[in-house]
Amino acid sequence: MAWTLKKMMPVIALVWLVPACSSDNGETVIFAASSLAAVTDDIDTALEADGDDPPEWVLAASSRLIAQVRDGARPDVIISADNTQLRGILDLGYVVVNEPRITNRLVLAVADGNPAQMTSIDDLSLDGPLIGLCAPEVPCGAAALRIATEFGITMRPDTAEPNVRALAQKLANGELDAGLVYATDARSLGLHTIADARIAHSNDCSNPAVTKYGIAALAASSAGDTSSAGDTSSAGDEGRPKVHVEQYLPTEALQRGGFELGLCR
Amino acid sequence: MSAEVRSPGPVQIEVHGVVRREDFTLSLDVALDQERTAVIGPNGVGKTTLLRLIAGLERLKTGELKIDGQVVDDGSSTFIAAHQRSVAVAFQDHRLFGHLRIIDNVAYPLRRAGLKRAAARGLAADHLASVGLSEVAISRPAQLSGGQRQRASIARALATPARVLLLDEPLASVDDQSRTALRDLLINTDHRTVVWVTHDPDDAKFADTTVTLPSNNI
Amino acid sequence: MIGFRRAPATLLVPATLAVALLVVPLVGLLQRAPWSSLGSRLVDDAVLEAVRVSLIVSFSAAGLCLALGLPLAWVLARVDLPFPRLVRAVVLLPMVLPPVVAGTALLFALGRRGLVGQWLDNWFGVTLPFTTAGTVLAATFVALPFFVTTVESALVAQGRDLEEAAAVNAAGPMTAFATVTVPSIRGAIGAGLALGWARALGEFGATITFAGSLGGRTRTLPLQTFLALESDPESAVAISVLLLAVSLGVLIALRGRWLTR
Repeated sequence: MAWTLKKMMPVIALVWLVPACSSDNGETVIFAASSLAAVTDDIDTALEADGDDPPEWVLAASSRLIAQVRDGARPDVIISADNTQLRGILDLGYVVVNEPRITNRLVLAVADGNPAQMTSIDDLSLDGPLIGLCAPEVPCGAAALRIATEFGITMRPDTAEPNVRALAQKLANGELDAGLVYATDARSLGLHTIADARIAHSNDCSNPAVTKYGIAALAASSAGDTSSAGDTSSAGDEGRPKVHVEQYLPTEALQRGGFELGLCR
Repeated sequence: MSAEVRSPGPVQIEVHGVVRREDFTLSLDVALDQERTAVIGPNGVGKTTLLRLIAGLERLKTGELKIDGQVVDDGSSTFIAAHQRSVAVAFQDHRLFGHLRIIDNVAYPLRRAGLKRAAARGLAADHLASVGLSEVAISRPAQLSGGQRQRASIARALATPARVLLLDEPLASVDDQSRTALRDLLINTDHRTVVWVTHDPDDAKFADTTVTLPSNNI
Repeated sequence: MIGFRRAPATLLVPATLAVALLVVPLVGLLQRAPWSSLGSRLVDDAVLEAVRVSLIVSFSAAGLCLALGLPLAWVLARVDLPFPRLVRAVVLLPMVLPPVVAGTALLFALGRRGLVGQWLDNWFGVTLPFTTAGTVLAATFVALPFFVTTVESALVAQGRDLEEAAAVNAAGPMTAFATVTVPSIRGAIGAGLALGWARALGEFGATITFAGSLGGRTRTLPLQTFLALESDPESAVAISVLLLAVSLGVLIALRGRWLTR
């Protein structure tokens, strides 16, 4: 039930927020991959502590967010776990934002009490334990595939879930023994994780476990498309984001730790 | 079959008791000891209920029902089910099995008595001939007229190797020409005992005795 | 029947709107379909694997509906049950329950840590989640009410008359059931099987939640469709068109054969 509601929320939010964001009430709307769900509250808190207004978050699977933008939604910022799909909306008035390079990473999560006695990611090749991964079609599954290739592990999943949240949920209720999920999901569900030095590098973009979020923002020049006639923008603004993205993704706070997200150079 | 059925004397049937349904209560005190009994009386006094009790399609609330001295229903723990009572019924509505051909409808009780299909059909064909339905033997019930269906239903009841034959106004929807012949068949059946619920005084005339309901109605 | 032109507009207009509501999404799907590459997308290995799993799962679920649902329908129609309304509501529940809830419920009941599932695991070493059997179970869970209600209403409409006739012709209860009851409602049984099968074929939420998704084992066509939406939306549309065609075919056949009888 929990994730049905979670899945519904962006839709409900969209219906009410999208008209609101095109009006001039100044609220910044950020579409974010659902793997960021665990940290939006922390970011909001950090922003409020600095006296800034937190943005309106709309969370959904990256592919859903992109599809919604194609269908006419115009959030100020999109943070997607899928860089390839993000390129597809650049012709809709969006520009790529290169900083900050926020990352998430896969961790080896196990069911409560580690019933299968997993010790490292090598154990994902065992036949006995019930193992879950994300399907290779989605970003967390692509990362799992990278890990398998890089470290020569023939993983034997019993399920390849289309949704990392559903995978994490099955680990949380003990139906699966082990799986590779995002650090953020593991944290928000309180999953026990097994440290493996090979994938413990959240600030290393070249590590196969690390997924770098792609960030795109509505370009300043295209703001005229949706805002009132009085708002004119000069041609010089073209190619620059309408909002200052970094303001909403406080790098300092991220670097202080406490979040499961990382930053890579 | 007939040799087995033709045993000496009528089957004794005694009903003393009460039937209760949602909308009515019926008290019965009837003893049937003749070979051919006509049951008459106005509508709604429980003539059909009496037959259903004897057949085992309904249970007594209290009291006792005996067939040939054996208690088959005592209103509580003792109840011999319909299929074990050796009682055949010709219903007022034909109740033929729509998925079976007419001949297989008539052969149905014979098959239940353990006859092979061919033998059962052979006997069934005789019964169909006796009610004048040989032509429609391989038809399905839906293809027959109302009167034909009723005759097929009578043939099935006659074919049933039981001690007792219960008739619930089986001739009501049969045309006048066939009625006399069918009445002869029903009266001269091999069944040891026939209990015939009817409104028609002509049917009752052939009975050894007539029971008029209500016997002791509440 | 009256002529289309003579039907009152106050009924015709909302009726047309209702049809539009049902049809427009289908048209939307069809106009997005990659018609030229439809064939090649459907003979893709992953899709064929999903077709195989779907066929196994949907027919097994239909078989379970028959084996368990037919006796259940008979009991509902013929036996004086305590709390009959409650029992009926429970039987119908999977029809209105969100499938994801159904899957979660199945997990809590039959999962490895579930109410019954933990005993299955401890005593027999049987775990249902992430197996084809689990997928069949999830599909049966959602399909069963469709079968049971179809058959039960046929039994209720038929009444006990024929069963009584069988009884006085020396047929015991099981013989009467097999030789009279079942054959005389075979149309409804067929219709119930087809409905249940179609529902099982389209099942998604309970399956993904309870049985997961693994190619060749638990990934049915709807799961494959959902996955394809992530990476290859056109392929997803192609599979959807296939499922749509099959379901429509079943319903048209039903309408012609049984529902009008």
